[in-house]
Amino acid sequence: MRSLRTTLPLRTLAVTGAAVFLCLFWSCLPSKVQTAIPAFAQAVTAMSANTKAAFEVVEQKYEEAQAFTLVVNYRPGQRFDPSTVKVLLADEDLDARMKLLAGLQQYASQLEALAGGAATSKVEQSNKQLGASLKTLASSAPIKSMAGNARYTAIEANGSVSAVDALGNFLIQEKLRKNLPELIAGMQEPVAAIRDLFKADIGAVDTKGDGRGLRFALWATYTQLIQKQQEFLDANFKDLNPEQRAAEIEKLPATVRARRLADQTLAQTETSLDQLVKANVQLLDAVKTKGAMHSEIDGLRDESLRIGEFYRSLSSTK
Amino acid sequence: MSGSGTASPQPQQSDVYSAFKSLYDSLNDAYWAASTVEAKDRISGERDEVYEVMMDLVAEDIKSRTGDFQALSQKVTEVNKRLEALSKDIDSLVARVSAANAVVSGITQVLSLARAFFP
Repeated sequence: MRSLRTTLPLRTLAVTGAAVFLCLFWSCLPSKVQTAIPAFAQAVTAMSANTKAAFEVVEQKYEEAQAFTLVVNYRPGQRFDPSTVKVLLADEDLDARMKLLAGLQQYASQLEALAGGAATSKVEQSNKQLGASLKTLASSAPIKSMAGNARYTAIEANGSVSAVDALGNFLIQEKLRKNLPELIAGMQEPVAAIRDLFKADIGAVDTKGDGRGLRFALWATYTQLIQKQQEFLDANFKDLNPEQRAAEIEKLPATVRARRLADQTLAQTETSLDQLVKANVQLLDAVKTKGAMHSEIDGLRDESLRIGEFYRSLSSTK
Repeated sequence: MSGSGTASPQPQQSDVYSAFKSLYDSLNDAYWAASTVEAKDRISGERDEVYEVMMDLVAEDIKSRTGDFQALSQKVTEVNKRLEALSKDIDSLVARVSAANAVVSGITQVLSLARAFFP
């Protein structure tokens, strides 16, 4: 008869091997998905921040145009009417959009928490702690004196833990494999609708300034700033010294350049919304077919991070 | 009695934007063509009003989609709730795996101690 001493490690090895085999060759989420989902989450976070920034930039420029119009139109003795100070977009309109962006970010971060390896690492972390406490227990004096020659080793204990560990990971992966495709498929239509709605908000503008949406508003606001700057110069030219004149005149071409840059930034934000839809489609393909999937997701992430830099530069310059 | 002529087509939103944009440009030209300060001030004031109307049009256009955004948020929230439920299932699986490990380890301990006492 085989002794307990030899049976236990063999059983441990067999269970671990079976679990590893199942994970590798049958049903687990491919490792490419596990690495791509964090990239997707990062891309969605950056893209959401950029879309939010598009609204903020337009509102900020509208505020600047109002203030500068007031400066240029100001006449001594004229009473200031506080009711003329307005915001472009009502709170409820902005809130609806910000809430949707927050929901989209939550979708991405929950996917990351589930399939980015966090769940399996929870098992490993939990069992590492257990393994460590077993080692301590096995080497403690009372156990040593009781066990005598039992040769119950920490390696043996860790082997048992590893077997359950591998099976646990397998069960988690199996649950994800069954549920994630359906959940990601359920987000295909909403993500496409998110793209369509935000693209309608962002709108378009041509080189003459004709257009619609935020791009039209931003272009028209920069144009208004340029006109008011000319009016300011026209009215005050004689009272400015040469340095002041130069500084005020230089603002004209600078504002024209800023208008073009700001419009391009909004246009790129619109393009990244198309990339979001493609990336979400790739995500679904990847969890279904184990295919490679990085191109659209990496493209969206890189592009969104780059656009984010533009928004920061727009906010820091007037 | 209805008229026999064909009704003129409803203006598109882009036509309205374009009409105000043209008016804005025309007033801008008129500003530089005006010869007196009074005329310039009046034209400038009117142009500022047209700018505000254009901004109101954008705000109204954006407002017209707010209901769609709210409805879409509901759909996204539903998917997120299902993701949350899956996350909870996995957490409970993690807890069960840890519990199973504790049991396995306990059995291993008992067996090894048994070997020491009953060789």
